[in-house]
Amino acid sequence: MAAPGSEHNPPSAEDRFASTHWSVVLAAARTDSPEAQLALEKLCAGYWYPLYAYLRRAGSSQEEAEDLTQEFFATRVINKRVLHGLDPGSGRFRSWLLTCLQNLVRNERDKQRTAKRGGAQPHVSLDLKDAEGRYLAEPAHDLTPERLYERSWALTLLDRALESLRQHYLDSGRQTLFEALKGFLPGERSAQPYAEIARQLDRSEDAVKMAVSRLRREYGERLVSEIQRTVDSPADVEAERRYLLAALARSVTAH
Amino acid sequence: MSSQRRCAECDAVIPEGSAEGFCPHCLFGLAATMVASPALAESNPWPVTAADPPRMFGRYEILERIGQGGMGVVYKARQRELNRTVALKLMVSGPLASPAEVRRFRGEATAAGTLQHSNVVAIHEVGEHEGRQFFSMDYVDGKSLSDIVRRTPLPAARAARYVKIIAEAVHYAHERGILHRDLKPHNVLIDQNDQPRITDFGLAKQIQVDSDLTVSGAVLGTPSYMPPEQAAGRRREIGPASDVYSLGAILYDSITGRPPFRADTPIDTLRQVLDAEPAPPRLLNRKVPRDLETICLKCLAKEKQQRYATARELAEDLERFLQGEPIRARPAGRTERLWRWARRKPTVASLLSATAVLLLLMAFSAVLFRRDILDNNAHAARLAAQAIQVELEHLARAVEQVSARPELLPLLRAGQASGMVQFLAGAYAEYGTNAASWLQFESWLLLDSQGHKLARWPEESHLYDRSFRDYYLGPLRRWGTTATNGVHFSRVYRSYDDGLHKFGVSRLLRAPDGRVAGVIVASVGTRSTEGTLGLTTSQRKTVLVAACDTNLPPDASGTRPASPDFVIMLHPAFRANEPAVPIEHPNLRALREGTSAGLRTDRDSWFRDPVARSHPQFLGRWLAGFAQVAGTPFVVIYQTRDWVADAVFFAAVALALMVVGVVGWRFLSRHRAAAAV
Repeated sequence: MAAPGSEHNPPSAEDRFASTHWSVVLAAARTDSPEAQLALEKLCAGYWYPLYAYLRRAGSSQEEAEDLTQEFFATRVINKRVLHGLDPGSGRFRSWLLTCLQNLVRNERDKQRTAKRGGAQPHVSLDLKDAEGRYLAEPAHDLTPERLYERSWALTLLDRALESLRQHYLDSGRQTLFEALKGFLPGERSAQPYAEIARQLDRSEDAVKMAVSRLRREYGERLVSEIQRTVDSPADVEAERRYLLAALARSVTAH
Repeated sequence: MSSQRRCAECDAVIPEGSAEGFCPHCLFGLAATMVASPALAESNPWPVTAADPPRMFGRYEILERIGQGGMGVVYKARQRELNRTVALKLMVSGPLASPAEVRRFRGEATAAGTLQHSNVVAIHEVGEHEGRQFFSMDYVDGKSLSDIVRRTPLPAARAARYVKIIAEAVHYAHERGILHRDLKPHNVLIDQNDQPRITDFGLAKQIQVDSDLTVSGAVLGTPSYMPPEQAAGRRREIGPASDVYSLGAILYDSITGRPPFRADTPIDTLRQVLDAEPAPPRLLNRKVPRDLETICLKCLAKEKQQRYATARELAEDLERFLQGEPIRARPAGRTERLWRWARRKPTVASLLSATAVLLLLMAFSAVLFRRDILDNNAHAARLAAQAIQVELEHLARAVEQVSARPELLPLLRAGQASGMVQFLAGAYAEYGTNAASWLQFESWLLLDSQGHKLARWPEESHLYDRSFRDYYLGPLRRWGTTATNGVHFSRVYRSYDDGLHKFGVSRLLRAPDGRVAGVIVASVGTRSTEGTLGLTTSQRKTVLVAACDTNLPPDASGTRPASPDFVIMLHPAFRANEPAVPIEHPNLRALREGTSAGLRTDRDSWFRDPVARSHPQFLGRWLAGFAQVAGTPFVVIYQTRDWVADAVFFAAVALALMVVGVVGWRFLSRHRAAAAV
């Protein structure tokens, strides 16, 4: 039985908390566990775009939204102020993160944003430069900031699951297979015929079908684990999944 | 930008910005199939590091991963030498497992391995291979009960049959000193023959071995199906009755489609398990037979003593239910539920009962106090009635004196109208202003023996027939009586002159030969209430009520005019010359027929003043004492404000508001806490 050494390396912080509920991570981070703190930072940073979109839709200018998003991660997340602030309550990571941001915005407005920003604060590498491009592509109809936030959240989740799956295939050297098969993720009607893919990959059609079903299952698993991190208990995964699905449906039908 | 792309699979609109342009609905759908599998829904929140299982594991060939429990991953595998399919449970931590974890894992497997029962998934082998602990057991080709139920309740008979069989198997384990301690629908597999089989003795524990390994401060198990003693961490109390509770929870889940307790967070669920009573199954599913509900709720009793003592007793009662025989379990009565609640919440219960005792004492003293006030009021009414009687006697004496004048009978005999009028004018002048302060003679009248008017002062031209009036008939009835020297106080009549109520003071006039010569009448009206019956404030007042002369002749159209039985003659609300207000009261009924019967009762603790209809300042409850003025159709009512009842009423309202406030506040704060994040 093959047990390659690489699989037994000590897991990274991200991996160690990969399927852990966010509230557990938060609790762990509050107990001064550096790796839990890192995991929380990464988890928060993964959802920066929904926050940006929320700010923009709530009336911030581009620079303002960029600044606030940046500041949120710099002062709240990295300086661990979120760790000592709001309790997770009985809720969702999605709602918690938004409330944290709203608190920041409220404080900022109170302070009238005196010149203190920038300076010696730690910097997070948020890829803000294409944020505005993405935001401009958002539907221009009258979604409220909260709705837009939920919509971007749902899409970000799907994206994260996809990226994590892509990385997994990349790590195991099956990048080509992934690129060839990913079209089947939504279903077989959205992709090229099996036979064509089989010819390209030089495999049997049955083998391709098996690989596709495996890919779809793996994606589902990753998506579930991604959702699971943002809710409080496994029992809530299904509710959250439906909620996000409904949020997406609303954002489309709101035309 | 607005050209909408649609998904080739589900035809939903694909929103802008979705990853790779994939349809988010379909991608989320992939997660749905995963959520549905119990393995993930039940997975431990801490990560499982084993990614892909080894293809071969000792003598086992791993076929596929089928689940994941608290400490291990379960694979479907083939045992090569026997060529049989088994379920293989590998401990997750692999070579890193601590000695304590190993001991616990082995303990579980050994405990379960001693069980040989057709409805318990059998353990074949317990061992260690390349540093990983494992055990193999029957592979059950079927679905778990939770997959089968999935929000749609099972028919009652089917659910009862499953739970009965499981209960028998659990009893078998109990007899061998093994508790399951984690019974739940996920751990019940339904095989191809529709037989339930219990699996995952992951938390099973030898009853005798009281090892700290299994609990170590943390609460283990699924809260929704967990008995309260386990949820509270009272390890010593966990016993066969704890499994009976979980069996009840499985039954509940099967017949209602949801566990007895389920909240947003595990902590809230635990709290419900400890404090809340489960909703009766029939509330969630009306098809559930009452007996099955009773059985189910008996299992779910918070107190172990209230449940079935053994799983076998449960199985037997379920069998009785299935056979249509009467069951042993009795539904908990209201008092029993209250008692159980009090046992769970002793502080609240004792506070509440202290409050209840205090309230009872207050109510009791309020009753006594009100009775005392009523007694006082009845006494005051009697005193007032005596005072009025004295005043009426002045009137009686005046009439008596006038009627005894020697010139009167000759005038009557002569039939000389002008002489009679003169005579009456003299009496009017003499007594008109001499009457009591609030009563005055308004007119004097002479009637012949047939009740026809002979003379009147002040003069009037009509020739009324007065033979129906009580002031004429009354003296005739009194013929021969010596009371008040034959002077009669008539019932109150409504005057044809001014429409006001008056009464007559009359006396029979007798000729020397003893025959009736006529009747002399002095008509009396009330003047004003001011300073009349004494003590009258906003809190207390005296009222004079009079019986009415209802014997009225038909009018021109032949109908008898209606008249109230009683009117209020004097009341602090009235001004001079106001029409009297009718009053109806059970205490007065005895007076309707004749004045001699007297009052039946002389107090009323819930009196309402009829005058309040026109004078709202008299609204509300009064404590009233009644007293008749002896020998007259008059009744005095002495009434005081019932502030005791008012106080009790307002206290009750305040208490109710407080309760509503507390309940509402708790609801809101919980709601707000949930919304805050």
